[in-house]
Amino acid sequence: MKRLTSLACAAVIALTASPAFADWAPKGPINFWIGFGAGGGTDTQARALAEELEALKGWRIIPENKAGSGGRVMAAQLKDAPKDGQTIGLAINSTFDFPAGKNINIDDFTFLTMTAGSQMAILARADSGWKNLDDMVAAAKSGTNIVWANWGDQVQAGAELVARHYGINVNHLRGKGGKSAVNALVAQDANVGWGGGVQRPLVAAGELVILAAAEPSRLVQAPDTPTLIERGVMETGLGFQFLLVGPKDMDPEAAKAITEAVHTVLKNKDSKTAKFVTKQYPPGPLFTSGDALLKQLRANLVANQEMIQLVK
Amino acid sequence: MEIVFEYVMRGVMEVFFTADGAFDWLPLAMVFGGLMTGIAIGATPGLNGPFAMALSLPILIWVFGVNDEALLPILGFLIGIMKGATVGGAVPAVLFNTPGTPDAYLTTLDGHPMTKNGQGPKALKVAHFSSVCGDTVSDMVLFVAAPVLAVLIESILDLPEKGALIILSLSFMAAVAGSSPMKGFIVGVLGMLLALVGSTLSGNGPRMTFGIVELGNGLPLTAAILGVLIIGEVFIGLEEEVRKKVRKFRSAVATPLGDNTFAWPERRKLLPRIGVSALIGTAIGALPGIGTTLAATLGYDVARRFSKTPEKFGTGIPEGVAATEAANSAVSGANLIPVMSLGIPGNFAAVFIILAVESVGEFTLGPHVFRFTEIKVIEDYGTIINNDLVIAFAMFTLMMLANIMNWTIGGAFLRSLGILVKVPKSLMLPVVLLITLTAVYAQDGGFIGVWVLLIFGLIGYVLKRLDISILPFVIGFLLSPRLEEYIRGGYSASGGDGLFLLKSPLAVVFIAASILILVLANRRRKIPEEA
Repeated sequence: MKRLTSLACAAVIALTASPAFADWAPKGPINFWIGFGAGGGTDTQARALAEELEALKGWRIIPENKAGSGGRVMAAQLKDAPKDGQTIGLAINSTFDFPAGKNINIDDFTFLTMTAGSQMAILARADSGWKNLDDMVAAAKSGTNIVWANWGDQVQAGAELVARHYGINVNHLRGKGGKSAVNALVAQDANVGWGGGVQRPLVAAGELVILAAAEPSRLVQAPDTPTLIERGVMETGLGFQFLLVGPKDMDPEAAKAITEAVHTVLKNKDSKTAKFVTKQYPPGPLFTSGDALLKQLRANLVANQEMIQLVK
Repeated sequence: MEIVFEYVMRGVMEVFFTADGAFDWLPLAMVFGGLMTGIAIGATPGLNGPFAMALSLPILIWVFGVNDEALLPILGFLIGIMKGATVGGAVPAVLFNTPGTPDAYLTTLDGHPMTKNGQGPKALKVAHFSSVCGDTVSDMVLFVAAPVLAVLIESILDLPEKGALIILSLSFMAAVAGSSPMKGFIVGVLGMLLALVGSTLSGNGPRMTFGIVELGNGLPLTAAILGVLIIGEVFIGLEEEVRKKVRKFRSAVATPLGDNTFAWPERRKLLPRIGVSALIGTAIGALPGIGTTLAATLGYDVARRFSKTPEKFGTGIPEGVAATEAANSAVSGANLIPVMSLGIPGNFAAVFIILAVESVGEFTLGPHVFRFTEIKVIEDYGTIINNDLVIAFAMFTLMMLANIMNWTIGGAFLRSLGILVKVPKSLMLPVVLLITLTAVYAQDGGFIGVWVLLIFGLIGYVLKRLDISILPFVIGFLLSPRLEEYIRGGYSASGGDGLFLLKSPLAVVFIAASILILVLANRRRKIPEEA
């Protein structure tokens, strides 16, 4: 993975040297569709990015929220958008590589670049008294009704994996967007919840505790809490990455120019986008792009085929 | 208690200062602009507050955008209109015997005779004084009741109960809002059905979109609501214009002016009367779906019944004007109690406040707003704070600002509106249509938005022509997604128990009450028909 990233970076730098795409400029405003609602992590990131791309390149960019079904409402429209590079979208990998969406096919899109990745965690309220996953499992076994807040099929399947691994029973509570799960926890509508990154301030304030991490490595906010992989619950993480996407067969020069511009913004540590991403989705920006990105998404798709059976 | 104070202070600061500590004149200016617009609109027969709010919201969003920083200026203007229109409505009633709104009819009873007696300016002073008093009292109740109610609700109600509470408020609204409870109920359900279009929480993709991918996230909200409220009205106006139903307004009676002073001793004497009316208005306003007309009627009625000289009512006495104006103005603040504490709008003004909040920034209304999270500053992370609560107190600050401006400059502005402005419909209708179409096209999904606007306009037109209240339809449309979320969540959190709604005693009480309300309302309306 790390090698892929550096390869992609090298590719981008190599491409920067070629003059062909430097000439690309949109013939009008760029429609920048956001796959989630206003106020969430995707939205904040996209709007900061749009602002800084405009400043950097002089393009006119119009961000627009098209929320629903974990980014798939946006993706369904992006599929048939003009291929001239003037319509792009920001969503997450599971919008495309989790096979629950009937009308979303990974081959209908051009994947430009990752921007950042999640800090996926299993959360509980601090007043539950639970310190880690074992405490939650013990409570469930002694009769506590577990209501687990999620925002999509992928994470619900993940919750089901945990439940089966430990032989407990959980009830799932579905909300819209990453923030809804944290809200459900705080409002006491659920006692366990997934968090992809929005939980950061609440964990820092001591309102919520991280019971387990669901990333390949431990979380920045909970360096002592083992991951689900370490616990042997699953082989891959549940984390997600933010993806910048265009329709299939998008003008390759436009794709390169946009990817390069986004990387320039993300690499500038003082940019609003990089600062937000580093704070909310540590350790910071991700740059996997082009073919390397597509290859990774295809691999995810295969892995997710097995997990989807759990939600059915 | 300390933490409450801290949040209130931060809310006040939010209004007056920008993030970097500079003085921020914008929200102040917006409240002022909104208030003046509202007074002028209220004083114009044929126009009203919600109408002005509906038209200005898209323009405001166009000017300020949808970022978090845009929320307070936009809300400031809308709150200004809401409060201004309440006060302004007295002008045509008093001076020209032309009530602009149904509740202002009662103001004409004593207000216009006062004008005939040469006391027009005094009548306006009385109307202004009592109106602002009523409004302020009502706001005070809101500031205390909304947080308390919200905290109670969050601690007592679980998902099934919250779902049942929405059902209860919808059926209450259907029962009281229009002429017929059953018709109200049917259009409420129709509104809920239309809101089902779009994405679901099932993960099975969008439903009922007929393959139109743009509808994946549901019918565009602004287009739908502006359609049914504004475009429906435009259609009605066009039809009337075609039929040339031009109403003639009676001109003002030129009477030599008498003694028009309205000094403190007299004001003090009116205060008990204003207080009673303000409380009546507040109590009525706190219930969703009941309008200002009932408040005005009750206020006037109670004042006359308990007066030592009931026979003088209707001959042009300040008490009559004060009793109505205090009551109908007290409705507006209290009307926000269900919105702020439950996220359930009770009237059109509240619908537009919700629409603004949904379209702009991160803030949403509901019981979660009033969580007094401990404020902590954490190194490398910033401040941990419930920002929604700060915004809520900032909103209260905007309302108080509007009241202060209303007290000080509002009266003078009100009295300067001596001429009856009548905007010719042939001029107004095209302008309104143009603004709405442009706004919806630009903000709410291009042509899909325009189509939705026109189709909902047609729905609004038909409902108006059938004399069915539009309010239950709009509220049903607005609340349906949340009801689904609660019901679906309650069902799955119960582990798939089909009878989950009936397992909670409180939910059973709410549901029984909603059925009872409909049955009773239906029976009550039938009796006069049979008699």
